[in-house]
Amino acid sequence: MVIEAVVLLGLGFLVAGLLASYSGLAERVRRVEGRAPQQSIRPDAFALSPASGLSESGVTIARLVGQTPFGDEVVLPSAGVDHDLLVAFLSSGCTSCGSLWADLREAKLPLLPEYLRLVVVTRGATDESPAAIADLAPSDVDVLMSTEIWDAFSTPGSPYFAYVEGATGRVVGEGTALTWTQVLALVATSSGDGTVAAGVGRDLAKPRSDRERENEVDLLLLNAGILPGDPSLYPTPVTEVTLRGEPS
Amino acid sequence: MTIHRALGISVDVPRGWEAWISRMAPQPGDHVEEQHHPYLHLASFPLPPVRAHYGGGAVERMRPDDVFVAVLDFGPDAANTTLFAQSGLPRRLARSGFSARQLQRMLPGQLGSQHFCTVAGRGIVLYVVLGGRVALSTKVPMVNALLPSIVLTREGVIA
Repeated sequence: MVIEAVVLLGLGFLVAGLLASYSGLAERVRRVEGRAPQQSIRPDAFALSPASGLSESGVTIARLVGQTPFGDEVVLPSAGVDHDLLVAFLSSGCTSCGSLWADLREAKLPLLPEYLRLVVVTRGATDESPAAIADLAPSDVDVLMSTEIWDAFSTPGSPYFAYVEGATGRVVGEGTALTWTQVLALVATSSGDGTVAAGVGRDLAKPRSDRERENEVDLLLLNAGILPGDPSLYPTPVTEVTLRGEPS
Repeated sequence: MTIHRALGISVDVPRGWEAWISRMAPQPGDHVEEQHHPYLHLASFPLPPVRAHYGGGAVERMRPDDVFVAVLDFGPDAANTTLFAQSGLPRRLARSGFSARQLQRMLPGQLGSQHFCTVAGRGIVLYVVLGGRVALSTKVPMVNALLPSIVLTREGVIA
């Protein structure tokens, strides 16, 4: 009995030692790779609560300048426009961001109001892998990579959200959230639009592969000059065709 | 205005406008040695992430006072051919040059303008779409103000 206890105690020390050693090793590997550890916001540190946790920095942002993970160079205006901007700061490494990315890809994002444009911003290509972000990015939402945008918003970590008023470019609300439903609460408070929180899912049941295939086909048709509603998309059914020589 | 520069294209983006400098994506059936040239999209309205080179997918969202500008690079092979014989980008567009017949695809109320030219050894198309007649007086002057800021260099010729 005593021997078993001693053996168990010894094994416990061994496991604890291995874990501590692994943790130090992982940290050293991250340093060697030149990547700072992903700073993830603890939910209890910045819990989004419209009543208490919402902050307003008052910072003014005129435009977002960055690169998409696919290499496009982009300037998006955030001031002097007639729509507001919801900037979602996400990263590839933060655990809490995983479900937010997944919901975006699977179109489980609650329906946002028409006056609001969603833009996902990750850190730039020196801090994030464009290939990893391309893999996470949904095809129908703008995703920019820019450490400068993070710095301009003084983003403390990810996930983090900022609401920018389009008329002025002023950041009128910011905070963190773990689900898109919680993000809606931020939007409702920042925009003063109480109906936003009742947002419903868009295209909930459609898998990512279907949406990506649809987007690819849409792009091919658009580049061929075939727009939605084009008559060629609605050919006459065969049953209505009168063959030559046959009685009609 | 902010200067936006990439892939051999630079432009001063007017306040409140959106700008994308992208490279044409490979298409099914492309030849293995197909070159994918850059292009510039400018708009006074939010552009959807999925859209065609000539703005298909975006122009349907335009309101009468909106404008969409595309500068499309057709590469060195097109340069100095009959269609692209004009040297240099137009620096000023006349309101009278806009018509529905200039549109890649006619949409009710919209007007377009297309110009073919050679710049820095590249065949270039300038394509402008107005959401409606009101933009002739509100947006054409803005387009004319930004056209001289568009600079194309040989950098974008690289495949």
